[in-house]
Amino acid sequence: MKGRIFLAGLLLPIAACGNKQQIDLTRQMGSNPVLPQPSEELVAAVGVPNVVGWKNGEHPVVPPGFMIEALATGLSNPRNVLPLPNGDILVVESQRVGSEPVDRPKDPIRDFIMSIAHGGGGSKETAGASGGPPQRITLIRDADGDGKAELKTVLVDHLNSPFGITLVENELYVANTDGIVRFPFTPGQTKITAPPQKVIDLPGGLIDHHWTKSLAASPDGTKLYAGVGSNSNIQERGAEAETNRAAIWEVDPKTGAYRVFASGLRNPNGLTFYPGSNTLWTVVNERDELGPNLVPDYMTSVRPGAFYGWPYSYYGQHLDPRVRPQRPDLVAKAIPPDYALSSHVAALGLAFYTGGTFPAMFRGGAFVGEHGSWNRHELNGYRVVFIRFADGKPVGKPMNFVAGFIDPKGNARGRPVSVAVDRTGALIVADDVGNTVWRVSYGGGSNRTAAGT
Amino acid sequence: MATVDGGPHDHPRTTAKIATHPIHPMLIPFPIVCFIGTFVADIVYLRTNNGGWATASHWLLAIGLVMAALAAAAGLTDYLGDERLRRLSDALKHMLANVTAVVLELVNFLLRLKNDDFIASAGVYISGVVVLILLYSGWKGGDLVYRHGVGVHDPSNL
Repeated sequence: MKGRIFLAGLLLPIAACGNKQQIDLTRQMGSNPVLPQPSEELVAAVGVPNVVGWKNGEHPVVPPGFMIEALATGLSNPRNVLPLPNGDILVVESQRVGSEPVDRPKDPIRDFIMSIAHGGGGSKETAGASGGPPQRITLIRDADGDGKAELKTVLVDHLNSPFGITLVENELYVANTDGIVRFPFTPGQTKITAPPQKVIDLPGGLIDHHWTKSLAASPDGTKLYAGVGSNSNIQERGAEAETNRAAIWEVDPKTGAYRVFASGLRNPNGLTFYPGSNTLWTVVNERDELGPNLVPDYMTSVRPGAFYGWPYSYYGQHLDPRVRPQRPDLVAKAIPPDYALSSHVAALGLAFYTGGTFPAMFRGGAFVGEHGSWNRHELNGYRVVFIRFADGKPVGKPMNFVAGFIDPKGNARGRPVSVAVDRTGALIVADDVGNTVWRVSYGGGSNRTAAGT
Repeated sequence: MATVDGGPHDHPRTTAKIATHPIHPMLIPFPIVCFIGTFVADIVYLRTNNGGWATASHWLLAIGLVMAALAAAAGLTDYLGDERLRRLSDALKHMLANVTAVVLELVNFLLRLKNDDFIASAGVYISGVVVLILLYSGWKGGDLVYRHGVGVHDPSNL
């Protein structure tokens, strides 16, 4: 516990009052989460772990029968992974550039605490090639399939805080924080020298609060979907700053035309189509500073044209007491999402299991990378969970699939971000704080991590 | 009246000063302007619903509170530094009114941190009451200087 910082309590004793949201966390998982009364916070309650990184031989914990290995280490803030059809894996190494301008007196306090979570430990020593934040895509090749990459090379550098990445035939689309670009690319290639072609601008700008732009292509490859997170927690920077944000955009990559596909999604990431369907899914980070158990982050199928409430309401039509002026006309349209993941877990990655090597219950289920909480004193998230699907719908409670990112002293060895399934059916996990890409495979119950070490 | 505590050339002294200039009067314009500005920003915010004015009130209150703390430190130093000052009932009233104003603004600041809606329910009223208190305490402060001659330069002490 000593590694954590409880600033709110130190600064303002009054901040501690009103935390009456004690509930069993599992009751906020699934399709019908319990939602306690909002408990507004004077200064955000902050609980972030110190970063210690992974020591030699340490690795996350997976269930019996599974194996986990570091596919590549020594990366610089790996945020996203894209397995290619030829077995290569692309890793997006990225950070935001610069810091958000201060808006209110309480911002610098929160930013200082947050910087401890992300600035310390592993992230600094492996800065990008230029010495600044990494802005590149790295290619990892494990041609002999021994779980260790023989080749780790920069595919393309000097991007602009990239996050989303998808391959459509021979074109690689990359969602920078300020727009989607396209590169001609054939799997097998280890270097991109062609200049990026702009597809469309996305909302970036000076504030760019939620800077990660998630990206997916429709199954037929004719449309792109980009997740554009909000510019604030709950519209503190005004409605103009949120124009076309907190939304998923549908983009025609040929013409650069777009429309807002769905809105009221505070920070949508992990855009993925359900296998064999035309249904887009996303995981969304919900609002902060309403107490440790509000508001649950969620996973949902995205209905075209739907409004999911942000900033005026959450989980359908539960009004956020802080938003002024309210918009009853919009709230009346707000629909609840499909499946709650628990509060503040920071779900950033989503992948459906399309492989054939995991046991049958995993087929068609969802892996969700939970980067971990900052806005509650007891950590939540910091794991990859698995959610079983039946008939294309999530069922039951999430199960911890990759854990152990927090050590017994409460320090962070790593934090999972994006997840993906490679061509062998193994799960790939980007760990931005541990600067590692992990590979989880199934060994059928006869391997060294089977005891859940 | 100016000579209650001594001869015509023996004014109550200020302890916190630079050369012969008292520091307290140099600092008090900051909280006064900030707190009046807070009241104005609150009114404009409630009339326009433009969050920028709520943000402005946060900064005005934060800066006003910091400067009020400095002004209070200088004022308290003066108060404790000269027994003649402590015997003035106007000095005590001035101090109590200002402490009340600052405590109210501290509450006003803390409660609006979590929810701008507080400005509508209570914040703007607190801001207005503080402006009234400042009128009173400013008047009392004027009494201290213009009637009791606190900190006024004494030629005989040269």
